[in-house]
Amino acid sequence: MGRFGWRKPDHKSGIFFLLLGFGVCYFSWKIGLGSPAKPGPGFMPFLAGFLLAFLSFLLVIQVLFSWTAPAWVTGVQWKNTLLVLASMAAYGFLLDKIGFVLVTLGFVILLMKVIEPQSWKRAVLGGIISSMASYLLFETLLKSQLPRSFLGFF
Amino acid sequence: MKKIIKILTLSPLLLAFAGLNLSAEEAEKYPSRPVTLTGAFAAGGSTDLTCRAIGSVAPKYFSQPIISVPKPGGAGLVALQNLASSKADGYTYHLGRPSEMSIAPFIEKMPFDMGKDFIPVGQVAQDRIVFSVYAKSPWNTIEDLIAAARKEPDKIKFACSSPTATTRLGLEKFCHEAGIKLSCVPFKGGTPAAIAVAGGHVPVLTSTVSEALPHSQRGDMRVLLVCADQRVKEYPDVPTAKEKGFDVNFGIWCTVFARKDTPPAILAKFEELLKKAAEDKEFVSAMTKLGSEPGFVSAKEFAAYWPRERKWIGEIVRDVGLSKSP
Amino acid sequence: MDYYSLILQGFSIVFQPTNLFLCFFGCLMGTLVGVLPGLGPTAAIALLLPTTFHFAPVSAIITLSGIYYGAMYGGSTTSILVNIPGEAASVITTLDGYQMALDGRAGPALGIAAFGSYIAGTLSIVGLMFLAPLLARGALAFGPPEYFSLMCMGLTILIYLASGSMIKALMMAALGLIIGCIGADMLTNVHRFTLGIPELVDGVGLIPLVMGLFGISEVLLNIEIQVKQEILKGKIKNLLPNLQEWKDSAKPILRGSLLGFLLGILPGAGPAIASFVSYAVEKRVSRHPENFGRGAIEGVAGPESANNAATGGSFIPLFSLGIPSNSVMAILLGALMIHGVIPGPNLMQQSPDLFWGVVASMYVGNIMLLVLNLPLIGLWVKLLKVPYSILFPLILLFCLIGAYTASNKIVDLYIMIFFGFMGYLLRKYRYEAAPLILAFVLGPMLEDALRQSLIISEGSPKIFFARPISGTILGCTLLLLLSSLLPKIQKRRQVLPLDKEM
Repeated sequence: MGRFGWRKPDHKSGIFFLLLGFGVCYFSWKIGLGSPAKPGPGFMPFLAGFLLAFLSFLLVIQVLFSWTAPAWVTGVQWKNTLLVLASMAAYGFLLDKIGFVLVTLGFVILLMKVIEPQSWKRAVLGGIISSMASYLLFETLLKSQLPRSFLGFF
Repeated sequence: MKKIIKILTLSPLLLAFAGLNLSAEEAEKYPSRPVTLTGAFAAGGSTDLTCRAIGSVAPKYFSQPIISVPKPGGAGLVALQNLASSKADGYTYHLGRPSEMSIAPFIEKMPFDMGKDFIPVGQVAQDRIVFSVYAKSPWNTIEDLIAAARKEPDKIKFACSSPTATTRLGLEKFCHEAGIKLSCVPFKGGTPAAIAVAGGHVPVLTSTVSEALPHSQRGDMRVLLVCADQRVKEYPDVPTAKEKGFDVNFGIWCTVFARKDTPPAILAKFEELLKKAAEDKEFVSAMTKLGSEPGFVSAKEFAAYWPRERKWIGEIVRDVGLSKSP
Repeated sequence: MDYYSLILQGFSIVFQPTNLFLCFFGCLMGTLVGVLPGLGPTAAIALLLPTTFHFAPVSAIITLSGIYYGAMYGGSTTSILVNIPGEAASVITTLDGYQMALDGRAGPALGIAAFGSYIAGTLSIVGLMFLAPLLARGALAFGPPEYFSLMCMGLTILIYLASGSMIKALMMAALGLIIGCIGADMLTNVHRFTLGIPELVDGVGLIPLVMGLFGISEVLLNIEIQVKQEILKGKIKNLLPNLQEWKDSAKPILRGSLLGFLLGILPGAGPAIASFVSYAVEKRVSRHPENFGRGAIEGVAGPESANNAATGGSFIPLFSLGIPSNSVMAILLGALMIHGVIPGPNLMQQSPDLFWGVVASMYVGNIMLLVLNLPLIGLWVKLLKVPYSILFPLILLFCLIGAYTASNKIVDLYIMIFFGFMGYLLRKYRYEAAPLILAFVLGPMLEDALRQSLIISEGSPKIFFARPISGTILGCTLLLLLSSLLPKIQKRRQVLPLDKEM
């Protein structure tokens, strides 16, 4: 990683936020800025977007000339991360389709098997205990209304 | 195998046939399951509490429990979508307020034709709108305020709980009738609005009776007018809009709605329940304690009134400059 | 006022078996609700409100209040143990509390949180007792311009929250401001950045945001570290704070109590803001500010005391003026009215039983909570020893359920997941989430206050300086800003290489 290299992490994130800031400015301007005496709906987001873009710019410059030590990160582990996120999204999607208990069961088993594989026994046991326990806790004790499956009773 | 297939294909037909007959029986058996009553506002708020009050007196007149399910969000869209997509079997209702039933359609993009998609079943209570001023302001009567506003149009500021609040629209209608223009300072909620006026930061307040009560009792605010035909008991000395010659008999009603195509026989039964609940002593006292005015209005009467209200609300929303969002 | 006899009267009410039981029940529910991420005291109180209908007013309020301050005790538990704040008031505790847990000092962190909460809670009740009517009128003097100035000062405090690169912290604040703008504009109802999703019209919820940004991202990061389990297993030291930790925490607790109490009185402020401010104050006055963000016990003691003291303070406007200072108080107001009690300046005279009964129950409740929470520390710490591969699905599950029960909207789950992903990336790229949350909370309040003030003043910015309170606050803000730019302060805030391995 050369001193003036463009592949430093802070550059990537800096440029991302720079673009984001400009995007926000643009959309805020479209909504209507109003005037300082009568700020419109776009006023505040425009200022915030501008601030973001400006600071990102400073960041990129700062790192470019190595005024500060570049932040070093370990790589992003896409596979596991996306898997977990996808399973959570699936949880949300299926929650009111197949009901709380079944989704919880599936979710816990899936995660226990896939990320750091446990034995089937452990996974299934864990799944059952957590769905039962959380059902008791939230539905029965706290009376929150959790979605039921097409089976009706749970 | 063929036999099984035959049975499998015939059975849905049989069930459908049975279903047709069932609906008549269903009306007889109604209610046979618990009933859901949704609200467009968060748990603990006045709409939810009203739902629960109905639910708590219902067992006396109704054989199934009525469960309050708040469904806040999207200016009422969430609750209304829930109602519209529910089965037209009389087990899902919505306790509506003008906010999402009359006003929101003009402000937000709502995929409904309010008059056709939702059927009023009965009104059980309403919150009266009052106009108050900061105690140290120079206006002692509503005429004082009107005179001052005429001298300086768009100068006198008033606080309201949101730019699209029912209370704001009530005040705007009043201003329209009185021929004056006041300048709106919106807040996020009835309480911050009332506090701002009680502290003297904004001179005028439009709010419900219960929002104004603690401040007027302390002497920090003076109530000038109540939007009603008859005087309210919390403010026996405050003149009504009718007395002063203004046609602003507009309260924030609590009316139960069902989705279209719900069988009229079932609706009639539920309306009966609402009537009894609204007149129930326990319900009346709970509403009074909340600062609401209990009172039953029949489905027919409300259905006649509602389109008129929606019409003038649409006009005011346009006049005031609140448009549908792009 | 003959305080002595009134307080005795109050205690006699509390010690009736029903009330004692209800107080305990409220505290228990509150702790539970506080520990479970997502389900906050507001929702819990709203859910349990109907069950209190059949009780006497004083009993009902005792129960509901117990839930409220119980939740403040419980909220710190998950913040410290798994970096998941149960509600906004516990966000700050994650900064140092979680670091302490990673260091094996989860016990002292939880202990100081519990004791600090107890002391602050008790002190704020004393304040409530004596100062209620006086301070309540002060709260009325805060109008839109004053709130604007207050929010300005709040945002300036950001500078003290940052432990790493200042530019990056400010970028996060700007991002927080932007996220805070999502939704329907308050004044004109124009939809800002809602991307056509109807649920976003109400804005991004604080709970999914916080749980995603802090909790989910933490889990995602931890999954990558196989080493983690050994670290936690090996280093659980003592369960209670040692003498040095007590000494270090004493002043933060006192400062936090005072700060929290005062901020709790202001409608709209409340425990969350109190915790932020306390953290900033502690960092500012500390002799070793570089420790903040790496396990400084002051960073737990101060904010935890502040958020509990704020709960005591928030009762003041309700009882003296009938004004609820936050959503919990609003529900309590409804509860009072249902029971036929009109809160207001006459409450203390007209229903002394109610007032003093509730005050006495707060003393009792705080003791109950201390007794409840301390032994639980041992239990929680044992929980940390569970292998992460089993623990993490459960943590995620709780986050999912918590987010769902908070609002019953599936969309909130997706929002939480999205911010979980964002939080993960932000952490990878060395950005801090705390300034984002602060700006997210304060930004909209600042904007609303600005626009309201400008309508009142018809466009003139003089209103912010001409009014005494507002002008004073702005003056202090300016001083704060200037003092932070002085080189002396810069040196204190050295940018140290972050040595925690990601």
